[in-house]
Amino acid sequence: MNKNYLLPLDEAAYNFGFLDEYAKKEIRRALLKAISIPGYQTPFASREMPMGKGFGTGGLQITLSIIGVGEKLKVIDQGADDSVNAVNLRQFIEMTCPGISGTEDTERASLIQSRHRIPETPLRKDQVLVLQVPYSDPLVVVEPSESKRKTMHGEGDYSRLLTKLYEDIVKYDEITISHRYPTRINGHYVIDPSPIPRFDVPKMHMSNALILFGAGREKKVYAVPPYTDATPLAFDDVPFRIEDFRDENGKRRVCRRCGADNSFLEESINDAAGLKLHQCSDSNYCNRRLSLSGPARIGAEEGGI
Amino acid sequence: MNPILKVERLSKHFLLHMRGVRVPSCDGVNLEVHSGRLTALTGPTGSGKSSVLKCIYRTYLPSAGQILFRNGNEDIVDMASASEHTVLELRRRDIAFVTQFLHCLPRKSALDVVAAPLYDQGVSQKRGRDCAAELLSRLSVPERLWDLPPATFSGGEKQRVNLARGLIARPRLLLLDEPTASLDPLTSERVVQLINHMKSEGMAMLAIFHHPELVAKLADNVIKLASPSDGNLAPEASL
Amino acid sequence: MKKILEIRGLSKVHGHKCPLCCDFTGPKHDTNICRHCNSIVAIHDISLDLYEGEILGIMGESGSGKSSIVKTIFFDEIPTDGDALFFDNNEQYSLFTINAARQRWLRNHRFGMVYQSPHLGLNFSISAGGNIAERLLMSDLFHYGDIRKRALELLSRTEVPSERMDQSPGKFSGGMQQRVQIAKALATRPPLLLLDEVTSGLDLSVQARILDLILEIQRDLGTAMIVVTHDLGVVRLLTGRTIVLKNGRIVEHGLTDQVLEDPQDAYTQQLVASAL
Repeated sequence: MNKNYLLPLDEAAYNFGFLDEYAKKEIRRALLKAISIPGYQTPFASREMPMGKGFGTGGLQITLSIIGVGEKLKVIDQGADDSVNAVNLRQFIEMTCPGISGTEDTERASLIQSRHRIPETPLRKDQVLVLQVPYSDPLVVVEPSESKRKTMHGEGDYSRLLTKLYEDIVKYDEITISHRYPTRINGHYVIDPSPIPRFDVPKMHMSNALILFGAGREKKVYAVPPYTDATPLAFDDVPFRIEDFRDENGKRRVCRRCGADNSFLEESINDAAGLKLHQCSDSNYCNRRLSLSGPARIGAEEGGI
Repeated sequence: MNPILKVERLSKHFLLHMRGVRVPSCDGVNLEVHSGRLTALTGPTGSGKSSVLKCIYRTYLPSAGQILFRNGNEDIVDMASASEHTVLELRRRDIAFVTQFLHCLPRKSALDVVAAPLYDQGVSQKRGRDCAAELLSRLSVPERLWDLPPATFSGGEKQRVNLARGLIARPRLLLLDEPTASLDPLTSERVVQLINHMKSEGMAMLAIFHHPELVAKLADNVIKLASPSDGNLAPEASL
Repeated sequence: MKKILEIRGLSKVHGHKCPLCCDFTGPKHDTNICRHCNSIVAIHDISLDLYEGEILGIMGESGSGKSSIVKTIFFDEIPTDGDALFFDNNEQYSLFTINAARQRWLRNHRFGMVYQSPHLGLNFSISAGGNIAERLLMSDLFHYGDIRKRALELLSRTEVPSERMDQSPGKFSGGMQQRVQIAKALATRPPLLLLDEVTSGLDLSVQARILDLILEIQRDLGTAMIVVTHDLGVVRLLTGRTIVLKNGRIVEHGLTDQVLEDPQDAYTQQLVASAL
């Protein structure tokens, strides 16, 4: 997509934000319901978007219906602002919403649409995070019938989901769910928090920012309102744990670029030497640290950049 | 003294629907059983001795008459018309029936089979087994058999297990149907001793004996049933 | 003795149901298909009482409606007519008028069911222990160690070797599958256990073991049970009282030994006479 190409909105008769006002209104009403009933999967009339379902149409529709002139938008995919998917989505929104500005800076953004990550920089109460969701119902793995799942949600019966955790511990001595970790919101509904890693799950708990979830294909939106309890499912004696980033010596691995020892790390293999490299998955967080302190020295001994 | 059991004009006949006939079994039986005494039922084969016992235990539904049992609270219960749960409760607490045949679960040891009525009353397995062991030794059942399931026992051994099971919970009324039929004279004597002992402790008994000499030895009174009238099988239509 | 279950006038008709259904079916007509509207009258006007700690037998041939009775009590089927009262501690539930959530609660917490087919009662995609854990997790037990301990206890009570706890019941023999089912049904210590042909299709020695186990449970836990079977031997060994069903109607009820030795109804006489 050409960044300089401006969609002739008037000529094409496209509305601000691509969706017509009625569509946006319908989605906003669904969002209000979702926020009022934390964790409840609210159905909405998912529209056809000019991209395939599965590319974040749920998150996109939420963003387009709540975005306004003057908004500062950040779009990330797996933590990166510059991946193809993130760039395309951001350009599409910029194109269809004249008067907003894009940014990569988490702190400057007022609206963040994300796939697979919650940014490392703590969010503020004036920010809104929109997460793209492929599968909206955490119970789908144990119950194929939607009407039965609704009953289970309504009665707060998550025994079969917990049984899955039980089976995990029996087989592997720990809960092996790496992402989409079932999390109970406000003491009742359990949600599928989209494919964020376990590392990000605690960030939803008592979050300052409003977190909205949109599943375009599943036609569902749900929300974790600010300052709401979010408890990952676990057993009293086998508590929820985030990913273990310690190396074989028990030392916390750090980012090879910025040296952060408190961020979610991505692992890649250095083709030449076959070494494992670790670096921040949140590119903006990493870059900001770099610009503040200069490159880290640790990277060198791991094989260099 | 009030009898513990009073049977009045008891009659029993069977209606066999498939063959459309009525088979009389016993007719107009009157008898009384007192605590601490043994009443013997005698009569020729087919005179309905077993039927009387089964009617009292409600294994058979009486066709006519009353079976008045005085329970532990001195209330009179008519076994012929009492509710199923009343009968079950009386069977658990007050009335035991020793038949010629032993029905029990496979796999259960003789001790547990004998102690089962105690278990039903909530007695622990330890105590139940102790009581069972005592009774079995008094009936001279060899100790090596105690832990085996009675299904494999000889007829005489089974009979004694059955008797021990009937006696163990000290019922107030014991119904005995030929309890010594397949016992040798020596063992038979042990049974006689035990029955006498239970009698002296106040147990009321109604019994059918195979051998006339046992009747003479044990019975305090004898009820003789008449041989059934001729023309046993009356067509159902003529009823 | 306290009453635990009271059923009055229970009926289940599959199909349109016409005013003539009841008149055209039953033992007298030797069918449960209404010749007027082709509806199937699975059960009609069933009334029964169950007391604490007792075992009631429901006997009859295939298609007589035996299973329909326990299935309606366990909410697997919705009855066409009738009432059922369940007495639990100081509570009293009218089974067919309480809301669905309450029904599910009773089903999960206060009733146990053992089906003829282990596929209906067990989830083969999880382990035997997981099957029991699922029922425990419904009742607010969230301690992994406690859940395992309790599951192990239940499995050892039903004689499932502890080393097989983490295997799928799909790998077990038929008898062991039934014992896992019983352990699962007992997980929440229900006061009422429903057993639907649990020993059918098992060989005799395995049957004996399960019957033995059932009696032991009744003795130790005082669980009231309804045992559905076509097997006279099972009825004789397990139950104190029995009802006999034919074409969806009760044709006879009484003390089990009386029903077997002095059956009053023509059909029961035939049933008893034809037993092996």
